[in-house]
Amino acid sequence: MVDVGAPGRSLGGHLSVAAAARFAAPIGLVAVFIAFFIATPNFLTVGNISDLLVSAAILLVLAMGQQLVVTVAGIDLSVGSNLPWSAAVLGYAYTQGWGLAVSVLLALLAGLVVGVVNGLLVARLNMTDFIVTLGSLSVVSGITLLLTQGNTVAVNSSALRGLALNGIGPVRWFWVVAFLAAALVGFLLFRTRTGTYLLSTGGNIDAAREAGIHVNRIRLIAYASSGLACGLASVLFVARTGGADPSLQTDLLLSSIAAVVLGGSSLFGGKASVLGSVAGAVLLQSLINGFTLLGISQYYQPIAVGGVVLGAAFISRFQK
Amino acid sequence: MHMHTRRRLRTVAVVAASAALLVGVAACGRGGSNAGGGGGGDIRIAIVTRDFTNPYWAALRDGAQAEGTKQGVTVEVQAGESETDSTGENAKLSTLAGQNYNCFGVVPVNATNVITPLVPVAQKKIPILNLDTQIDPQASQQAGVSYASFIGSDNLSAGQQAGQALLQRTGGHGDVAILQGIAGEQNGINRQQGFSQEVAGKLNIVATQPADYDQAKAQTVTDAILKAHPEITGIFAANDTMGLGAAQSVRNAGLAGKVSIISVDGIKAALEAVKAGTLSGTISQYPYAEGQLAVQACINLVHNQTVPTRIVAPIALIDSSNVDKAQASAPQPFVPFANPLAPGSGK
Repeated sequence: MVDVGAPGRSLGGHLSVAAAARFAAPIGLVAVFIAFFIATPNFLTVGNISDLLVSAAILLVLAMGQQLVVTVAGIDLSVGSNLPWSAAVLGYAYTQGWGLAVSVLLALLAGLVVGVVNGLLVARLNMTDFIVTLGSLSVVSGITLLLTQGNTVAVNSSALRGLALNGIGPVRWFWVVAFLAAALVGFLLFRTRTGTYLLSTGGNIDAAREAGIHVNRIRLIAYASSGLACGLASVLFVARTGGADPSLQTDLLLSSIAAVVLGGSSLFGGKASVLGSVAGAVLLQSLINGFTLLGISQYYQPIAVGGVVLGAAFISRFQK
Repeated sequence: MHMHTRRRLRTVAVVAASAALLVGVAACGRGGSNAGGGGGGDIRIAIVTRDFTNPYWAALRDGAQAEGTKQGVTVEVQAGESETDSTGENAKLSTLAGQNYNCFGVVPVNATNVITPLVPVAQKKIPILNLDTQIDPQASQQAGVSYASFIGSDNLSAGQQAGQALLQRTGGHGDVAILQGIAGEQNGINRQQGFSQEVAGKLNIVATQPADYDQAKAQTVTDAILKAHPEITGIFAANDTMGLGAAQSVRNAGLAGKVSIISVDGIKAALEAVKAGTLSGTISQYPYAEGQLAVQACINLVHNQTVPTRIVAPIALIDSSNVDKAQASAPQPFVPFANPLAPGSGK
């Protein structure tokens, strides 16, 4: 399944369609950029693009976690509450005075724990991933509300503020973190044996099992990684909003799935595209950014976002 | 292997070329992009709020835009997707912060979420107004952000007035329930505090539940409360959307007329419900007026005139006795209020 180019080559003219489908998200991103560039001079400025990438960072990290889970033909719905849960742990630890480093570590751990639990339930107990993560979405949300008593915990850290606002020149720390996460996931998927196992497990779980791959362990790794990504995203979240808000983040959850789908990964597993998911996440954020600059009514924005997702799904039909 | 490497090289080349093109175009810009829209004296105001699905914020937007049109200044109003969309609101705010606005008005989702995106605005010495819900002053100060003024209604007083209204309707005794807003949100806390203070010792508060300022949720929560406490005679909802949800629940339970419901905000649907008799009363706020005040304050600030650090927006109890007048003058208040920003008011 790695040789997607081979059949296309023999079919001459179909090669360009398949290639376009594979690169649908990056091409779409360029198209949207050009469209907004024409519509307003304020879009393609260093300041605005820099800000756009900062706004997209949290979604990007979540999409990377989601990418790994989708690769093994799963889905992680618990992202919507795992993010606020990790943020709440960070907030709790910080307000207890345990220092920023410890708090960040605990946040990463908190996200990881939820991911591991998801992975164990899905892999070992053989429960359907949609239902498992739907269940953990609610359970974790409840636990978060218990920890915070429903309140937003303010986290007043100048270091986190620096993370959110500063960088090296125009290169902001936020996107450095997000791109590092993407690079890590890309490396994992396409350069390591575990990555090959992830792709194989998603492609055909029975064949993978017969080939001697520990599919349960692989799926556990996928879900645990998604949890860890939530933990990382929660640090960015707290830095950006100055506090830990226990509310369910359904928009980010749905957007993380949309970004992965936009990127060309198949929800049935086995096919992954980190470049595509990154482009998908940035594309979704660009739409919002561009519309804000143009002052287009709020009410058109969800229509545009949905349209893009549908368009991407349509184009990806040509990938095979 | 060979094909693999070639394809990878091709991908890298495409990415590198696009990145180079992007940087090149961004650096060159589109000729005079950030030189400022229309000359030196141009006033451009940006207002960011939580969402437009709550009619309250839609009214704030409408008031601000109407005042902008009247005064001939540019007013851009943006919002997030929901009452709890902190990152969405932040994204809008930071996008606008990078553009050419010379005054900002912000309604936060919670006490701290807008502070970080406002830091660059404060650094550029652009005046910022805190609208409707208070932003944590300590956290703001630590981040180096300060507000030229806070424009909002007195929510403690709103809660007190609601308490008085419910006392009147229940005869000063009995069991009541409270529907809270989003946990930790300051306005809701103040309203509840005012209400509880006013009814202390007279009404027995048997249930206090959050319903997140959401109508459907309030209906579900009220269903549960009515089952557990069928003897209640009053409900205080921290906002109208929840009050309407509670009213529906009461009607479904066949208790219409036996349970008085008072809420806060004064949105159009609530006024209609008061007229129809399904809602006993609402402490009307005037987000439309708040929007107007925000624009007026911004204009003064851009012209370097002083603005009071606290501008109190009007509130009024609307019940069956004055709902017609209220509807007729909506979205403007029908009670006169002292506007400290009005020209010639001596301030």
